[in-house]
Amino acid sequence: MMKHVLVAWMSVLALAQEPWLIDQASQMGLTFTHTNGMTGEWTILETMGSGCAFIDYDRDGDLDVYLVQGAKIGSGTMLFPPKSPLSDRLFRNDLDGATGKVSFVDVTQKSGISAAGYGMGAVVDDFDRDGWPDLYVTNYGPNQLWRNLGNGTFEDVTERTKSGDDRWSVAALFVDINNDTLPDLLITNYVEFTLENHRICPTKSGSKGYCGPSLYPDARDRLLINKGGTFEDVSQKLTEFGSALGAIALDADRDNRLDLYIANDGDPNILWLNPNNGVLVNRALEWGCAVNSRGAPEASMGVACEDSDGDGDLDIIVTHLSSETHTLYSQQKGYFEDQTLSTGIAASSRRATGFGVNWIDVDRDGWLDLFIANGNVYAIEELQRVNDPYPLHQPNHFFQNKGSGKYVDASQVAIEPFSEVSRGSAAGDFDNDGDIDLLVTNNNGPVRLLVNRHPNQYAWIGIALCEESAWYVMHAELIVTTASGRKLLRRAHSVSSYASSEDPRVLFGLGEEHGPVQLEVRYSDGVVEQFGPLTPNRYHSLVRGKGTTE
Amino acid sequence: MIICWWFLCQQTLKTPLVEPSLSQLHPAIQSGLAEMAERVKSSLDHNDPAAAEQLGFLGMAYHAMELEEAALAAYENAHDLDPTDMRWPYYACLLYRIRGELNRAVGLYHSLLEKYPEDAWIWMRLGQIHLDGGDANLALECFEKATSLLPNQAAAWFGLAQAHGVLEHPELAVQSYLAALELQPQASTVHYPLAQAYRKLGKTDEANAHLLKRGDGKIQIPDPHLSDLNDTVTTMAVQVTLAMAMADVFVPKDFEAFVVAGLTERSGIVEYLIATANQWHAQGASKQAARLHYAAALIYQSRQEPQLSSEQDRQACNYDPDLVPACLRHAQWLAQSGESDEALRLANRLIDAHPTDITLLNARAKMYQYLDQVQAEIQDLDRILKLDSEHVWAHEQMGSALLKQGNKQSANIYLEQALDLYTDPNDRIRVLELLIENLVSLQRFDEALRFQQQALTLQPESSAQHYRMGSLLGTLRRYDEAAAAMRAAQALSPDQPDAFLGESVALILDEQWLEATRVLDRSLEKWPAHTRLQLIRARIQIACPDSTLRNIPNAFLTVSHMLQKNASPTVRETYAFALAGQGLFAQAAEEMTNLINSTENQTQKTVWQQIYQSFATQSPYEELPTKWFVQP
Repeated sequence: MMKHVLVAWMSVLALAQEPWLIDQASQMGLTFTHTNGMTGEWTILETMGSGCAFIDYDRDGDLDVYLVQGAKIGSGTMLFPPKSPLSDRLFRNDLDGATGKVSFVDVTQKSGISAAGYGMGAVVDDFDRDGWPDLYVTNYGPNQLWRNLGNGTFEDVTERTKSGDDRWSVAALFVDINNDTLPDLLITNYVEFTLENHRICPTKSGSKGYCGPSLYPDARDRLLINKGGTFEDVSQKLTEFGSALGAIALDADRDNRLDLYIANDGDPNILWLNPNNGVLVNRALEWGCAVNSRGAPEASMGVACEDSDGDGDLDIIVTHLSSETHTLYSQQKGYFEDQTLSTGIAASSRRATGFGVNWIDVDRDGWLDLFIANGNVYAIEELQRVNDPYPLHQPNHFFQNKGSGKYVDASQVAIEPFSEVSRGSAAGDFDNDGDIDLLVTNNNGPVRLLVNRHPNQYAWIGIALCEESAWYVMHAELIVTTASGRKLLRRAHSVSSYASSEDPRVLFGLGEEHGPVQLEVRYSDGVVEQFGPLTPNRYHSLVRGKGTTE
Repeated sequence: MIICWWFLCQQTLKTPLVEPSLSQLHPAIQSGLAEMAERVKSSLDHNDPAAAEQLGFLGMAYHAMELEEAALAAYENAHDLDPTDMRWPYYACLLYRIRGELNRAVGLYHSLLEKYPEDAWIWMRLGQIHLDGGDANLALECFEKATSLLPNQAAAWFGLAQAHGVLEHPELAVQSYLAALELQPQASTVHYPLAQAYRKLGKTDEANAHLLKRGDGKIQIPDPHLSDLNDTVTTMAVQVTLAMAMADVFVPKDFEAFVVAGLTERSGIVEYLIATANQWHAQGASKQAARLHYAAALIYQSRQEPQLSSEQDRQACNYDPDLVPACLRHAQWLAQSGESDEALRLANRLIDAHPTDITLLNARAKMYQYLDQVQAEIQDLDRILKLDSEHVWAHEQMGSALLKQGNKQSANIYLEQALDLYTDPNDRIRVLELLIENLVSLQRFDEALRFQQQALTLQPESSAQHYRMGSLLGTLRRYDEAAAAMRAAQALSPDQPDAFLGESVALILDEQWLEATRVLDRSLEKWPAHTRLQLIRARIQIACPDSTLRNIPNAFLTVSHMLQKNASPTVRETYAFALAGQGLFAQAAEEMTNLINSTENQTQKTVWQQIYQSFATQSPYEELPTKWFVQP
């Protein structure tokens, strides 16, 4: 009897202590280790990669995974030699719908994808509107556009479509800039780094260390207009640029045309407003999202955009270096305001360098929590002193939204205490169980698949919103209204965070409300459509044009 | 060694000391820290009252090296041994803030405030911690106290403004930001949050005005409590600098990076480096002394004091003529200061010693360019291109130098090479403009047009590029297209009259008199006093083949008015035509006589004499061989 009590107590204790997000990557067959290719030369390149993507490439209803790989840098010997040849990998998700059991299978070879460049990021969208998600891979070096042929294989159409870029690209984004329904392509580039202009920067104690981006010229960003088969370069419209690492699209000025927000590392961020005359205008300073509340630009890395405070408009968060805070630009009556200091994320965020960032409702209470993938870019003296071979690792952060955008640092209860050099992070419900999970990549480390085990039994609703005979709707705003009148705004998107692509479906936590909800969709071209009533605790496949419009 | 004293110390200290691994540190730092640790051990062994101070200094040294755990342990022990010294808890709090351990910092600051309630800097630091923690009300109280204690300290007002901002008190935030700016006008970043606060108040004009004033100047925080810590940071950096300068193998790039990053901001450092350099030189270590002078030069340069920087480069180069970066920088300074002979002598010596160093050849080519010694510049550029055939700057400069020499055909070849090699659109535009100008002067208009099309592709929103395109198309007699290009230029810069003038000229040359008249009339509504627009309009009214568009009395009136303000030859010639148009041929002939007598230009004289003959004999003037419009 005593033994049974003890076992019961142990399991209660274990449950109480179990983090909300638990890594199950290797158990599910997602075995992948990123290699940064470092050869002891302390290049800035080796510190920056790489991202990841959720992509349901076979359209079987569950999210597959694409992981971006590094490559050898220079001619020396790699300090962390890989166990197999280096290239990006595509893993198919063989989710068993009956049991919920997930297993991943490496299908890279079958898929025809051959991406062996120095990979940085992965962008998922249906650029040719054939209903199959395609893949754009950003690299240090030539980028690649992989067209999904719909039979489990991909074709490299970079040259044919004129969508390449040979510079150091990190973030890219498909976005319909000219409202012709075809997704155009924004490629943001980092710096003009080469092995020839590479520099080593000494640390405070005089030992070798990494240099920041300011030593290298900024690389120009690129904008390509989709002409239905090929892209036309209109990059001259982007008259300003910085060391770009992140990009998102939103209709900031509510003119029914998507605008672009670009996060720059050390330079002011850019907000390209996109009026109807084809001339993009950077209004980040005037709109309050270029620099922080002290007036200073910061080392912007990843970026995410959602309604964090539940006030019905989209906010932006940008991750930064340790000693800076991450910055939360809250939208206020048509402009943004740095509200970092009032949200509760400032103190903890000074401790680490953030890259990936995800606004996710892990506990399904209707308030978006915040996950931040951390890992330094400069050698951490205390790690270097103990001969750590790659002294950049730091624990990740999880901030729980306690309501109205007020956060508490819940890292200790929410996530496992890995100390890694995390970079990309993508949110998605890969096991289709109605709660949000996370895919996190580590520079020179293993991929993590953080499965949501939060004990809350709150209701949820998932929306898979598609175009007729095409892929998911992107960049729309979805507003769910519950029976009690509570309104929840979420953004349909793929690209977010750092060099990563997320679940294109939209998941709402509904808290304790279990009744049907109404859905309003505001498309990026200004059309508004209503759906509902919709039953909670399941996904709904909706098609644009099948709802009711006013 | 460290391990020994560490174990011994555990017996006498409350907080266990943290033993940092020093093996990866620069040897100079390792030995410095080891010596300090030895002193601590010895003091503790002998119950020396100086032990607290020495532990604190060891903490500062660890702090300077970013060894946080070790620094905190040292500070805590120092504080235990001597609770009256405020430095150690104060410095520990800085680390607690970095580590996000706000509660520990708050506790320590409060204990300090019990002893020093009137210390504004502690209040400011505590306020900052509360801001980080999201406790804006508590932060507000701290900054209010700080501003009352130190009303002339901008950092206190800035903190107060930030707290008001978080608490949604925009009016009070504005007042506090303005107070900070009044005390530190150079802190131009402050204009940005000030603009934000104004916007919250709905004061858009004020917000926009301050946005325009935003710069990179940050609020300075001259916290006197940090002086010891700053000195320690400097000392450690200096130790590394001296060790690097002393080393057998000297790597200028590493040295430069360390000096600029580690020492630029430190006061008194240059003087120390120069004094040490003098000592070393006196002891016969001239090469090493030269490196310290070079370090001083780099620091002066970062502080934007070029003359002082050059003096240090000169000294460095004197002590070690093989210290290439210092000697080269000195040569460049001499060239800029007009001492060209000395500059070139120095550059020649360096290049003789390093004949394949492209940086040196590049620098000398620039000196020749500055001195307008084109042939010598070309020779250096040629040497660079033989060493590196894709040296894009050398290609561009070679093109420019050959243009200066008048060798336009060869210049084109180099400029086209530069164009192929450049990837940055701004560079490409610069080269394209040179190329186009050169091809136009060679009358190779078709080629010029091809390059102009490239320029337009790079800058489709540039009015100037459309205007140049229009001019070239006009020269090629593609008048319709020229007029269209001019219209595109007008759309992009509607406030510039040149493109309107250009369109009217293209239309006139295309004999679209009515269209040209409409453009001129519209333009004159916007710029009624524009001389060239008025003159072209007047000439159409005087001599247009389409007689329905003539209006000689009106033209006469216009030109008579213009003549009163501007008696230029073109206006006077047009006036003569207007007189003839009125039938006043004698006066017209007299005006032409005056013009003929006013010029020495034979071609002009001949043309005007023909006009004179026509007026004198009262012949029809429409057939005269003169341009009857005025080229823009």
